[in-house]
Amino acid sequence: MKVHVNGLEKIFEVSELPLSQLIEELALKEKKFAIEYNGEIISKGNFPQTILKDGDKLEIVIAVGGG
Amino acid sequence: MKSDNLLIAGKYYVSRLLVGTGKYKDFEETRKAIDESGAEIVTVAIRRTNIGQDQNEKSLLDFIPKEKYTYLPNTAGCYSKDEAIRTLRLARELLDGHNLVKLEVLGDPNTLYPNVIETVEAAKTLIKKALM
Repeated sequence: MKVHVNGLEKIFEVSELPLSQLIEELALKEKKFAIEYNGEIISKGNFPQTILKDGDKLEIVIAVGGG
Repeated sequence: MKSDNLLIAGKYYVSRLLVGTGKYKDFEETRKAIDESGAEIVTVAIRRTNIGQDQNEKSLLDFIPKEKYTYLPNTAGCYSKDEAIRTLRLARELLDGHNLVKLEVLGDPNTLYPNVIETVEAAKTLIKKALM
């Protein structure tokens, strides 16, 4: 399946993937971030039950210097 | 509590200086400069994370603790009301429900002059729906 993460296409050999697993794969687990999943914000508590499917879109953001 | 302290959303501030957190050499320099400035309120930008980044890469939040400073996530880089609101909703999630923001909707990419009409519309929506 293909999932769009921050505008980039990521291909997985499985047809479904828990969001929590993707977070681990992206080495984000220990970081402070927020996620928008198909246009909706997902709280951290809902990551394990959020199952990614083909065509899903994710936006992952962090706080950076600026202002 | 001195009478000339600044009161915002139930919290008193001694300093009226608000500073940005960009353009520094590194996070350590950012931390030192903000500490020296005496500012208690800092602005931060919300950006897409780099996919596949270094796991040990430091975060701004490690150097400028949000327990010590009041963060104002800003909407620089947003060119519409909807984009600004979306950014701030993500910022609220990122900052654990924090509701103070620095709002600006840009109008021109060269001069960074604001689009005042969109900024006011975004503010109306945010105030009315308390960030939804």
